[in-house]
Amino acid sequence: MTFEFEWLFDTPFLLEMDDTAGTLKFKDLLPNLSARAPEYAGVKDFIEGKSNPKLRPHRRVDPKRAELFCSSRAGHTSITLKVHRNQYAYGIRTLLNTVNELFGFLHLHCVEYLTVTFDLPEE
Amino acid sequence: MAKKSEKHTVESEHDEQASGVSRRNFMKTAALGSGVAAMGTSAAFASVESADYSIRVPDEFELPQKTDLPKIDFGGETDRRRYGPGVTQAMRGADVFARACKEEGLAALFCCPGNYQIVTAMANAGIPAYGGRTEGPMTSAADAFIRVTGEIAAASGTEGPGFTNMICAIAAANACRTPLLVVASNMDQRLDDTERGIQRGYQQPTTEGIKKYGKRVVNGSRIHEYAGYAFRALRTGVPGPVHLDFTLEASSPIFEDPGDLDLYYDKEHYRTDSKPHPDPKDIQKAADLIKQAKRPMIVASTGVFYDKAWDALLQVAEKNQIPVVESGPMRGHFSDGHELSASTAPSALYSVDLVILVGQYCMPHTGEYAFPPDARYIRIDPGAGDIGRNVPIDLGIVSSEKAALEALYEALPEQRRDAWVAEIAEAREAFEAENEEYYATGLGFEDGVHQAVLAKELADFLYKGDIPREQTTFVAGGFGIARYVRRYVRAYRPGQICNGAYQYGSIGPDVGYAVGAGIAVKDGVGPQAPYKGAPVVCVTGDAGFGYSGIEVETLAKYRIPAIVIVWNNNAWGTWPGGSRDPHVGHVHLFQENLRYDKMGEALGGHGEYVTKPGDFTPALERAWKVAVNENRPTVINCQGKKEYSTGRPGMLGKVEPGCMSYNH
Repeated sequence: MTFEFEWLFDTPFLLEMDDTAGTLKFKDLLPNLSARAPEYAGVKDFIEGKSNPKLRPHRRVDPKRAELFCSSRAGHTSITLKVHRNQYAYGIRTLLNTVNELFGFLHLHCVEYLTVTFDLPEE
Repeated sequence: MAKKSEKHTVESEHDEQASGVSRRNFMKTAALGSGVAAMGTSAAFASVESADYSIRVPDEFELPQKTDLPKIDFGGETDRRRYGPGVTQAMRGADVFARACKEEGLAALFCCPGNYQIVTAMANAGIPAYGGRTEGPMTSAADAFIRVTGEIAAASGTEGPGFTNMICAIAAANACRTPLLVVASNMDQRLDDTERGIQRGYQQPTTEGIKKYGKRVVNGSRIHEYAGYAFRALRTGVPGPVHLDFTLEASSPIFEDPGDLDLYYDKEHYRTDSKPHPDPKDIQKAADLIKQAKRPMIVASTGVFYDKAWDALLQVAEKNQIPVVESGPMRGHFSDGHELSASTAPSALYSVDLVILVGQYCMPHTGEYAFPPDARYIRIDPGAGDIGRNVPIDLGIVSSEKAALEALYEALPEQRRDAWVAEIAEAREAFEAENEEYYATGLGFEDGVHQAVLAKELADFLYKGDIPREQTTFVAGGFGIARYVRRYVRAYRPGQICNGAYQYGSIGPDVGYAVGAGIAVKDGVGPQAPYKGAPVVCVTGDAGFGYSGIEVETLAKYRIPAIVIVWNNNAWGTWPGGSRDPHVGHVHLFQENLRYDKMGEALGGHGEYVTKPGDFTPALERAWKVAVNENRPTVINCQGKKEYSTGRPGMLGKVEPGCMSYNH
């Protein structure tokens, strides 16, 4: 099942739900961001850091309920949340909030990538 | 009621046959009538036979303080040749309008020559008038004056090109929701569409979409009535610019008797100061939502400032321990120094579960504010028509901001949210640590002044030294440099920061803003009163300086102690993107190492050229002394490199709302 979000930019975000695998995936959420891109390391650290036990519960991805990871394929980066025990309500909320926070991170630290990729006005 | 006088006449400035009054004669007789005659008729027009070519401010700049205002009233003398001390001058349409403005407390007029009748009438009514070099920046000056005082000011331009020079600044004021009175002359109605003479054109269609209210005033007997329209629009509801243009048929007629004017009654009767108050049921719903929320946050925006609701805001925030983040075209209505301030805690925004928007007139679109997508929203606004626009709300409250906050204070219990407040504090610390990192990186650039060095050392000078941290009013201008400066500058009291060009995003109004903010502080208007006469500081870029740098002359001649810091990176801020194409990259570049400091000196100010990081703070100290001791402006030309906007940290982004915010 695929859902289309018109949200942060004019480009729609596609969310793929695979209830067999138990995954929610924003496929190619970050176009033209390969694993070799300088920004990728920061994105990966950000995503992996979301499970850090030092984070406050409302900001952390609870590993008992879901796992969050990013992957790069064909030069594009996807963000995936694998839910445990069909906790999709938790999964959707967590994933959407994570993507929101991820783009805040990109706005602060990778603004040139956003400008080039999503046509963000330079002003 | 009003009866028509048969005596009123129209004087055409462009038809010397009709009345013998030309533009030159008008200025001469108006000047004489204002009391210059007291100095002797030859003094104002004698040639200066001095060989001294040093820059000097003419004596006329002191005349307004030394000369009594003329008496102007119904039934006064109509022959300008008889004007002089002790003579009551006739009341013309322009004088009727000016009197209404004075009674409304219009705090200042910013203009260039032109619109003579209205401008002269306003000055003669005792409204402080300031003349600059270009209409655009002077309109920006009026905008900034209003944004740091909350008082209404006017900007004036002459018909045709003088007026169209104002358009960008009017559009910016409209995006800011500034209650700016725009006045312009507009020839005479009887010769509409003839193109006789010069400077003819319709103005009102030009400001369609960038004003709250507008009218071409063509009938002198209704000029007071339209003053009422103007001030009802300026003083009620969500503010915005008001544009009136006046034909000679409106500004010139002489009125022997108040009865000659239509609907001539005062502001007690042509408008009300009454404001909308919230429905108690809505306040109870809001209180319930707030009590249930774990991590609520108030967004204190434009309306909090204009409704003077900062004390009520503080009470609500402290009673229920609700953190506050600022947005809007001005900052300081919630002190950055308060433990509940979240304006410098951007990483905490992602934890918010309830957003309380107060006076957020310029609404962000979905996703533009950093709050989580599952956060709930309360919106408090004086206008029902805008609630629900752009961002879906869970509760809308139609009310003036102050009334709603006072009602919320009564409805809310005392509540502690220690964990949430601790999270805000951690987020602030993380933000400051990042700023320190940027500064350390910036110090490593030894061939120029990095943006982070400029921003941090400026902030240390203004807030961590001998100057009281709440003293200095600041204009946050520029584009690329603003991405750094906004991270470091702080606001500790209302009207302390004028937040640049805001949503309209124009480049270059900054020195105009410095004129307006500088005059507001110089004259001690509104919340600037405790800091009367203190220096003001403006940061801009070299691209922006190109638009309004000439107004350094205005700063100098009015003795405004302003420090204008130009971050000079030899390029427009668009260079990083523009440089990708070799055929067009040059469009984004200037010559390197241009001397804007010398331009400041040439215009009567002081200049500093800083090329090394260690030289910035000493230059700032010298500029401060010039400001305090001489009331003269300084241009500090900080030489950077366009390449500092690439690499790390390079061009910074921003998160909204909060200190980095200028879109909404």
